[in-house]
Amino acid sequence: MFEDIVINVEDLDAVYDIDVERNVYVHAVDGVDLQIRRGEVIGIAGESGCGKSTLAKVLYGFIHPPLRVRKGSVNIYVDNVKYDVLKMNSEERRAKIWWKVISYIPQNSMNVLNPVERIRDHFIEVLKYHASTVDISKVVGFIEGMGLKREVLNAYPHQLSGGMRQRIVIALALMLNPRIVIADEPTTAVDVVLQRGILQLLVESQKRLNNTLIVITHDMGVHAMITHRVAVMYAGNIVEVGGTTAMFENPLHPYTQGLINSLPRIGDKSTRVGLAGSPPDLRNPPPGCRFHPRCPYAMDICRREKPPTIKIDRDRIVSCWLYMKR
Amino acid sequence: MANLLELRNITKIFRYGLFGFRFKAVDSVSLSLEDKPLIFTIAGESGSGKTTLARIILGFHIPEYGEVLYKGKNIHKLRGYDVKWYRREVQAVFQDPYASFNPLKKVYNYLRETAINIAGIGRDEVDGYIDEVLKAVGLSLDKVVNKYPHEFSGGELQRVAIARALLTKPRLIIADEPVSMLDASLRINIVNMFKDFKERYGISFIYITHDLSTAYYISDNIAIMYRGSVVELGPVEKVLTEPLHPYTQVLIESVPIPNPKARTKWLETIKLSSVVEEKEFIARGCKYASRCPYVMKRCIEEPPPDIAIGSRVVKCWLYSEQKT
Repeated sequence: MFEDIVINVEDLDAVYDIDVERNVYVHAVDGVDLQIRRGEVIGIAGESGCGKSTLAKVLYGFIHPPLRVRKGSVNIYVDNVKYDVLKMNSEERRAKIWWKVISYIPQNSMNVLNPVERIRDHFIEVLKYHASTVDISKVVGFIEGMGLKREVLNAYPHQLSGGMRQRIVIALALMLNPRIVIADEPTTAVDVVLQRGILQLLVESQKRLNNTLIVITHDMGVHAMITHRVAVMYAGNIVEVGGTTAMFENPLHPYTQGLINSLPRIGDKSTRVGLAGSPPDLRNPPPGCRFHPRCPYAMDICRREKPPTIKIDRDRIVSCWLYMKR
Repeated sequence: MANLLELRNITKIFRYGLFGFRFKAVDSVSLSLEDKPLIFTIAGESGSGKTTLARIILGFHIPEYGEVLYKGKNIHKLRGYDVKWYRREVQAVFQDPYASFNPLKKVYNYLRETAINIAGIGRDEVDGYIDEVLKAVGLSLDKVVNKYPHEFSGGELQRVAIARALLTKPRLIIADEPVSMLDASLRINIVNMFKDFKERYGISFIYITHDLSTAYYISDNIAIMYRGSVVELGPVEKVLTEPLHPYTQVLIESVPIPNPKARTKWLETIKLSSVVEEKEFIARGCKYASRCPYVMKRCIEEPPPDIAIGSRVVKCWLYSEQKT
């Protein structure tokens, strides 16, 4: 395997079952290939319902019904050890990889703390399970590094503001120095000043620990500010992957183009146009390219056949018939 | 020019618990909208009082102090025919369209009721009229007529909500976070529609949002709110590109910009505060004092006055010498 790959996702297909007998399901992740590199900040972009959170859950191995993985593999390579995430059961994942190798900051993270447990006990619980010693003074140093006072350890979650709780969850996720951190919409419910602070915290700790940060958000502005590479998802497919700067300068996939060009900016009143239509129902996705009903350049072949993944250069891949050389 | 809408010293007090803590969700806010088509943004973070202010303008809340004048009439004292007149003139669009419509009722029934009861359209003309208005938002009657709210996507249902508001031929629409539930690629289409309605039909909008980028894109004037007070007010080009109030400055610097070249500046480390919000609401002086980098003794002791600078008003002691 390549040395710089930390997660290798191959041909991943995941569904949410609705009616098993009649074989009705939501096809949330469809044929996803993605290589995540060691030490990078990679963003996963896309609108609500495009499958980005589902992909994150599968990468972390947090797979509970109705979510089901139909095929594909997720391999994590850390410290010369390979972990085949989908072949492990939950107990193995908890014992071997969660918190130490990979950690997950869930969506709405300000509401995931146990309301009847002090903040201190949240930290102790994780340390007891995963570390040989429980050293609360280390925890104090750690949360002070996040701009929190040591007194918060004695507080219950409801006594802290949303931003403070969010920082606590981030502190928990980073405490055991995981090599991979997945942050799923880490700042959607917070105001912009706090959003900036929290994202800076994540980026700084990524630099300090030299680990891999996967940021999942619909906010293209956030991707532009913190990621090295972005993977754009649409209706369960990855439609484009590329370096952040190159992608914002020259988006290739018509969906990425629409997403980036529709964003207004302060100081610019020029007219912007959004995409027509809305994302498809994934219980019954359109044939061929799933974007074709909204695509301004749709051709015959787009309606019939799935587009191939085309490698444009070392960093950029796009899944679109427009870039197929004849 | 006479004002279309005028808010004079509006204060709204809320309480927590029976004997608990009282705070001013809206604290002596004065604003006015000139009587010409314009888009006025009220921007602020969650808890700034912007939605409470919208609900006061719509008559859902009665303020403890101050009055709201629409075309010179106090809207909280309207009686009889005037109530219906105000409902026709001023319409609303809310954040979550699925919460605005009863899930058990076909949306067509809402449109029909609004058209007949409030707009006063005759029963035989009503379908034609509804179709015409739906076409203005990019839908049509046959796409809507037999559907329940859950059969629409979020973007479509928000269009239906906007069409419902347009049915009464309103002069003013209060849009409270109308696009924050929608996906980025659909947001711009909705705000473009507001711009278009302003120009085509002469409708004014009060656009309530936390999103400064769309605010800049569509509005003429903007008021920035913080903890119940308007801290800066003026033409959007001025306020958002040359902000005066320290809070407006931090706010604008923190907006992520969809351009990786702006990254270095955005990543310059800011300090996260651990200020408790409740304390700011009841602060004696400036409510931003506990976070402000330029805080002076006076800021903690006395509430800052509104200071007019050129075309705008800023509530900050830093500018008190420049008072004209």
